[in-house]
Amino acid sequence: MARISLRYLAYRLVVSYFVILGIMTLAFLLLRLMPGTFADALVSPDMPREAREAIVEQYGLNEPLWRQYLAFMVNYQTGQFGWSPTYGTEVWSLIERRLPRTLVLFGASFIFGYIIGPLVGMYLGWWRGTKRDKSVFAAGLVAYSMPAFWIAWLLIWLFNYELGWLPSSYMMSQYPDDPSLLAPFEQWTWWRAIVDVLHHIALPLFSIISVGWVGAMLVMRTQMNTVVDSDYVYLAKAKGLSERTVMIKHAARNALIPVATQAIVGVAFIIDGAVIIEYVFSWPGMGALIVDTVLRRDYPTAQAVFFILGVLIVVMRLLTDIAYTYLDPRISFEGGE
Amino acid sequence: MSDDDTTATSSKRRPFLKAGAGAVAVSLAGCTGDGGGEGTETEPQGTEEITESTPGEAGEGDVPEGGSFRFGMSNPPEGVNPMATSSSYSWTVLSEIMGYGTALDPVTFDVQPSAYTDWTVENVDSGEPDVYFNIREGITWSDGEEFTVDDVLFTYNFIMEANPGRYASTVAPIETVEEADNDWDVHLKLANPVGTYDSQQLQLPLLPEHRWSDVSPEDFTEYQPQENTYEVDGQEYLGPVGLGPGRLSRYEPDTSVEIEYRDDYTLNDLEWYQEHENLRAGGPFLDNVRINIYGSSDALQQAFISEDAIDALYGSVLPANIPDVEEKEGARIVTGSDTGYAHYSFEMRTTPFDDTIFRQAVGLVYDHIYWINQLNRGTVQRGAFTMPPGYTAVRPETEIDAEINEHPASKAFDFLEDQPGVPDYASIKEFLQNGVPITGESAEGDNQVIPGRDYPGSMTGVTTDDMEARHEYTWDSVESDILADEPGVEEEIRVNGETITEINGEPLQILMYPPQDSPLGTQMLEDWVSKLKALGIPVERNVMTFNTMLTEVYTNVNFGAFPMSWTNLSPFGAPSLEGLFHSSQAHGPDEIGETDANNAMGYGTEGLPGADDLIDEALQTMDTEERNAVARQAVEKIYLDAPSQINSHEIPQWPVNEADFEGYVGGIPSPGDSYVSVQFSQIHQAE
Amino acid sequence: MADHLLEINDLNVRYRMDGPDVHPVDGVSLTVDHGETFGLVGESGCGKTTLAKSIIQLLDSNGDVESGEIWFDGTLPAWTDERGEVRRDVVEDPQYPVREDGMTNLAELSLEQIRDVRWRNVALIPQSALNALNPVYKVGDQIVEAITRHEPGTDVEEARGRARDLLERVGIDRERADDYAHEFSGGMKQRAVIAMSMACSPDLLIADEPTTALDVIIQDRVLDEIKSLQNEFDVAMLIVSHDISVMAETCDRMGVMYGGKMMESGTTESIFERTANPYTLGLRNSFPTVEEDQEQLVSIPGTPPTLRDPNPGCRFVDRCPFAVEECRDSHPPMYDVDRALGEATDEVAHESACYRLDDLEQVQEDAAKEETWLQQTTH
Repeated sequence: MARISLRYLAYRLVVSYFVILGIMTLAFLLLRLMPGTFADALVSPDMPREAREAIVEQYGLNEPLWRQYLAFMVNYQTGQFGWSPTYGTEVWSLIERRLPRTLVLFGASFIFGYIIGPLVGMYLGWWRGTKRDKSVFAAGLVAYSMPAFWIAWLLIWLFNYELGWLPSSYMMSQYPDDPSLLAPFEQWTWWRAIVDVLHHIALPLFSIISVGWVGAMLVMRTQMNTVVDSDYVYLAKAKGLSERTVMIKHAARNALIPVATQAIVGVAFIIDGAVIIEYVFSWPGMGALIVDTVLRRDYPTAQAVFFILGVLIVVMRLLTDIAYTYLDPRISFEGGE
Repeated sequence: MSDDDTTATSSKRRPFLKAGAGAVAVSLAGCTGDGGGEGTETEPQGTEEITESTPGEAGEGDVPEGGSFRFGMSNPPEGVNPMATSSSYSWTVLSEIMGYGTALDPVTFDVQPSAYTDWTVENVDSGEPDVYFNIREGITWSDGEEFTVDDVLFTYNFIMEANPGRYASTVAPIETVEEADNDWDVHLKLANPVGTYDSQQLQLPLLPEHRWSDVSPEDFTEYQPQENTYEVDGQEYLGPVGLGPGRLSRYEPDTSVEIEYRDDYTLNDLEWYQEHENLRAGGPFLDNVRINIYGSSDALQQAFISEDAIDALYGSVLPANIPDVEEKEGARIVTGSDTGYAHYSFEMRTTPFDDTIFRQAVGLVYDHIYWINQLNRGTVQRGAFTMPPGYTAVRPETEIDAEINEHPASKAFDFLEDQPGVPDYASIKEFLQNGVPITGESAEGDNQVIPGRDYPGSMTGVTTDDMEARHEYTWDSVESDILADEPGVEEEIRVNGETITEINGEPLQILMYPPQDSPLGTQMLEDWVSKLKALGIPVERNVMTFNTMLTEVYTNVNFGAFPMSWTNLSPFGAPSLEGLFHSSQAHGPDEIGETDANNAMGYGTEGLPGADDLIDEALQTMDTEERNAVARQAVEKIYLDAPSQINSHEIPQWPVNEADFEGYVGGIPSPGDSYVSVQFSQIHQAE
Repeated sequence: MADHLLEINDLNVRYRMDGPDVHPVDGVSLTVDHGETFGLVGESGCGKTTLAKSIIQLLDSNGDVESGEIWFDGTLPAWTDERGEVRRDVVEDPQYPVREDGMTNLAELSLEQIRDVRWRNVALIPQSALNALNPVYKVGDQIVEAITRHEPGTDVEEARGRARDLLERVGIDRERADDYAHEFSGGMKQRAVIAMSMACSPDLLIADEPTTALDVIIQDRVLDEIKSLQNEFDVAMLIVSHDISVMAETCDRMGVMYGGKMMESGTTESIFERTANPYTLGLRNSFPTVEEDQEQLVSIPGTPPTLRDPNPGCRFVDRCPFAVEECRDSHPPMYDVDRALGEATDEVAHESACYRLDDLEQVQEDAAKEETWLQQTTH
């Protein structure tokens, strides 16, 4: 159905590949432009100098930059992410266990943000100028201007410290007797595990969404307002369609197209938020990993995280393009360009 | 380097300690030699047998067994391969699992038996000593296998072949390891005398041969013990296997780690343990310790203060949160002592930091009262010597039985006050102009070299290398730009007739951390710099961006002075003194810019004062008492030579849940991090 | 069957504004008979489109019918109420605004009720039909949507077939039903909307400026298409246009509006033969007509009045070259033109709101002269 030809897809994949190479190069350079190396953290009175030097050599830190870069590029393209000097494990094993957790949080945030945002934007745009529009719009702007971590602390304070309803850390209960909504561990079934995850994801998710929906809402509201005055909405009304049908099927459906464009920015915004939120909520995902490894100049790991996030954004970009062709039949990607 | 950075590489853990009457601050025992082998004579020591009796001192009943202790950390363990990781977070876990040949008393720092029952050294005079020891029979690895001599031989051979960075210097002097051909079990041949052999060579983490024989000494760093599971009584545990009290029962390094304690652990029940005044034998008493890993230190602190999600946390409570813990019901703060020091060190190849009297004088305007009482509100204690107050055996005061930090000889370069907060500039100028430093010889009464301050002479009898000033100090009109704008500065110092700015092409540089990372340090530096300027010394602050301090001081020479902290120093002195003050740890002339070294000051290098002789002697003296005496001399000589100015030692503030648990041990070094395994062996449920 | 299909009596439409309300339709009456084509003409802002919209309550949210009646003789058997239930008892409903001859007052229908009237009874081709097709749905589906909306229970396949038939009927290939609007040419879009308007066989089709934005050749073609459909489906039409020449071509009867008022109304033939209102005369001068050869086009000087503050007299007085003192006092009522000319008939076939009807021949003569209008500008 999608008007995307295989040829165009192949072309996009090639472009994406080079974009990812660019991201990798940038990550490589940025990390090395930052002062210090992970070996600095190894300095201590009982770390003999020789041992430190051995590590420097083992990771090739004394090699010329171009050689390190070459090795990095070759390794990554052969699927070798290397060894993390600070975590003492394969970089891939770190990513393997952390990426799904980030995807859960990020994916849920994205989905909720982009369901709630456009829905609210649709109503506000349709009823533009009403008191309800003005107050919700103002509330959205306030949320938009607040730092995500600030909202996070507020939520933790209220729902954890004060009310004790929701956990403030981790993705699921760690031990059978953890205070939780749920009965003992042994009796866990898959759905209980899901409820447990939902219980834990509530606060971080809410923190991200409380800011994340606004961008989509703003775009949707503006678009809706343009679309409301369009001739096809007028015709739809003249056809005797109900207000709901006109608003959703005819108006919102068209207003959604620019929201897809905004979503590309939104992806970056939500990833950005997720990094901070993971940190605050001890969510053991990629966000916490990137903060930690960049600060400690764990090049092998930090590079890999950048790489994965880059791939993620490029893939999202591609998906958005495909979504476009569904949303707007005027757009097609059939040529080689 | 901030504390947090340096603690990333901890020193060895000593897991074999027991506490007695709970959280009473342990009084620090004096330096009692443990009668280590003298000369070539064989004097077996530590011949305790395991006793079956329940531990505990007279008058104290049994403590409740069981319970789950929740501990929080803000960083994940970086693997649990004892050969590969140096992370203190990893070792918080590993200390509960691994066992050693000897144990260290956390109060007296005496070396005591553990998996080895007794040991001795022969042929010290030959320069190549022979160490003999016996292993304990009847103890088992955590997977149930019996501990054997073969395991010990395997451990040494494996570490010598693999040569992991963490143990490289420990195995370097070992020439051979073999089954002894006399009455002893094992024979170690050393290439040179090692004063601390009983706490180093005899304190390697012991590896079970049956689990490590498949690990290649080449690729040992890639070995992931946790993937290697084993079963005991139908329960599955994760590797590694060790002689320690615990087994790893859960390892999710991003969120939580659980250690379950064995029922058959006996090494906390040895005689020395039962006789200990401050530790309770027979532990651990807990069923398990659950370590929660949080994403940030804020989350960690709040998990304790607001959420009651943990019973204690790794490290200290943040100063801002101390009142919260004090007000919190069922919580209190256990204090302890530092394992290191915070300091400013001087680049001794920069004029006039090359002159001992100048370095000493700089200390006289450093307002430590302001630093300790006002800025830190008493959470640090005064610094003087490079060894923290808890390491009494190697403190110079011990030599003459003086109170730690109280003797005038340990206050020689304290802030010289005219009136509160204002240095006695006139006396300090006079001191510099006269050109006679505090040498170690008595300078009291009429012989005062610092007007207004008596110095009784060094406690250990050492003197500085610089018996008089290297330069001539005078004061003249202000010429350096940096002083010109300074209100109230009327004179500028001249070194041999020249201003310091003329000599170096710039004012003296003092490196600093970004103010937002170190607000207190910044305020202190501001105060110090203004006082140095008032003395007519042109100094300039130089803010290092994040994480560049080390690179700057390790690869450049003309950095002037830099702030840093060290932790986890050896309680035996010499090994740490070697790492920090030996000339071998300084830049050689052609190494600058290429390598780094902990002795960034250049102390002991060509033409500069040093303590190499004393450090080397301490390193090689196999008699504990003699070794400590030499170490004390080295410590005091470093004090007089002043390559580093020791500002303070931290007083750790470890917050704990006292409503549900008792048995915390205060007064020991780093009670909540480096020595937390002592706590795990002592904590028990409240009655 | 009642006498008329549509009977609008003294309709007032009000728009609420920040200042005083405005009345784009101010006391207008008209009738449209079954199968007849009625044209509404006037300059932009005269209220003709507002009048058309008000028939099926499509006014903007700040507008409503303040007073007047819109009687309609279509069959209005069913409507879906708020709960989505189909009501077939409307005529029996004592609240239902129906009178003895069976006509219903559309102005009093609820929004739910009028939605059922829209398209089913009264279809509307909007002003810019070129943009009236939703870009994200297939053209055929948009016709299907209209059918299934008003004929619930219709099989979708059947509706599709009907949509294709309709497209084919207006000269668009059946297969193009699966195309999107952007794949259609301008004329095709226009015809597709016309086809859609016939989907439910309405009683009345309102065509708002059906030819604007089309080039002349296509204009003709579209008008032919509309006429032919009208014959085929026997639908009455209300054509709204600023172009008086369109009226001449297509309408049986017409009305000329200015400033919210009906200025002249009657059979097209009569209005063109005996134009009885200076405004209509001016309009005729400013458009080319197919039938008569005009030497030149003369536009009416000045601009249409703002509705905000209407003058108390004739709405056209400020631009009228024939205005007399009387014109400034009150807006003239509708006079029977035939009677004024002494040709009284039983049925009123031609009315005009002008005080100068007695002087009509002179006025017509002067109006044909260009200088009459040019003088006016110097006023």
